[in-house]
Amino acid sequence: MLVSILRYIKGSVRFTATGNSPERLLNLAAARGVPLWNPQPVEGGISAGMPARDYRAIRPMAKRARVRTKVTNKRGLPFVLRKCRGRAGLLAGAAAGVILLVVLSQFLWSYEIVGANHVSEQAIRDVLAQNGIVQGVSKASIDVEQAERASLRKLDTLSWMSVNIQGCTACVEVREKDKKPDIKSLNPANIKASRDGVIKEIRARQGFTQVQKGSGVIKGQLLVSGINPTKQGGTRYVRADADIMAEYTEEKSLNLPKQFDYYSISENKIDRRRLKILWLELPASLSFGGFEHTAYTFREEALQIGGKTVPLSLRTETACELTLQTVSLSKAQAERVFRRHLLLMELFCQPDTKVVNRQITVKETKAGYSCTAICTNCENIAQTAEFSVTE
Amino acid sequence: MKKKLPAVRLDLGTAPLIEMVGNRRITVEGSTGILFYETGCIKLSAGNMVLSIEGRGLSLHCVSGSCVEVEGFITKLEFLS
Repeated sequence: MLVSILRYIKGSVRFTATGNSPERLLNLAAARGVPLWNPQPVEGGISAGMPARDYRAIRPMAKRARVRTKVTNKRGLPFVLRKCRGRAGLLAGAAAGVILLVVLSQFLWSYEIVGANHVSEQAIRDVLAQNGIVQGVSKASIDVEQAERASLRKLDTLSWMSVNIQGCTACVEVREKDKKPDIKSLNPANIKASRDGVIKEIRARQGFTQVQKGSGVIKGQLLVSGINPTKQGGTRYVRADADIMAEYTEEKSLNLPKQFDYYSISENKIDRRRLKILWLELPASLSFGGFEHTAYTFREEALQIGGKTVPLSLRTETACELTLQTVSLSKAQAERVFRRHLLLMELFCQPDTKVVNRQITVKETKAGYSCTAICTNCENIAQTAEFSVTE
Repeated sequence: MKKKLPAVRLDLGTAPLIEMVGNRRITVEGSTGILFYETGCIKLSAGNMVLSIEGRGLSLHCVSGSCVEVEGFITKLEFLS
């Protein structure tokens, strides 16, 4: 194999020697140290291979051996290069390609994160970027161990990280920390009211109920006791567990101006594309102009070949015009706005609370509208309060 | 006292060294030239003798100044002179 490669690089010819005594040519070549390989008898002579540059050397020997030589095959790099002699651009392109390959292989083209199920990949990428692992960075400048240590220190949710650089890509393997299991306390506890209200339902699973359905309770009142005096005169302590559903009223208010300004996204948009090659960004579209007030969105599409991301991506920046709009609210519109506000409040701030009744009043004032809602809510007011047995 | 051994009087300096691997390969060291080359018969000059190798599909595998390697199905090896 190695010999074949060397022969290809140096170039070889196969020739046929015909005459009375072609064997003599073999003897003369061997005696003068001209290497001949694979000599084969052919009709009227001998065929053999030899290095291209030695072919001229056998001409005097052929004359002496009274044989005629004829090249039958030429093979090797010198002959290929000779064909390309008049095409300097081709050779320059090939050389530029090789140089480009060597230069580009010194950089990190892309990296993927494996094992991040609950932790944000973007958060990990941001921390890695702070520690020198970013697309387009020189591989020589990456201190893998330092980056791993520094990233782990910043990301509390990860327990392990390994940065494996393979060629021009890297695989960042992470392991998330296991969540602490919920350890149920076994200490004796009472159930107290978390707020004022009227009890509508009692579901006691453990403990001794101190209130009844329909009772009015105040915040901090004992609802289910964890202390039970026994018939023998002693005391039994348990951890009270119950759901106490109680109704209570709550007042919510919101002041809305009659007229207000806000920015809305209009239909006018400008797309600007930029071609990103490693760290280099080149404009790929001609979009000029701008707006007075603009909101930007970014989208980046990277080229993938064979499942591997190559350092060529198209970054699209969309500039959306923001227009200032003035809105005047009528009383009905103010009520609709307030109703939506209430619904959002209930959805995000009180997800476990059931609204039984809601009375909305909207009053027009000089400044705007004063919206008030009196809500009757029903929720679980049971609050576990542990106590020490020694008290 | 040690006895003197008689000196070996054979002169092997010019004799060829012939090495055979089965009947498929023969290496002749000390060959001075190829006299005849065909697939059925190869004749080699080896000092003061001519070595004739007969067989089927014979070919010269390696030819150098003093060594010839023949491969093929060798059926007969003959010293002609």
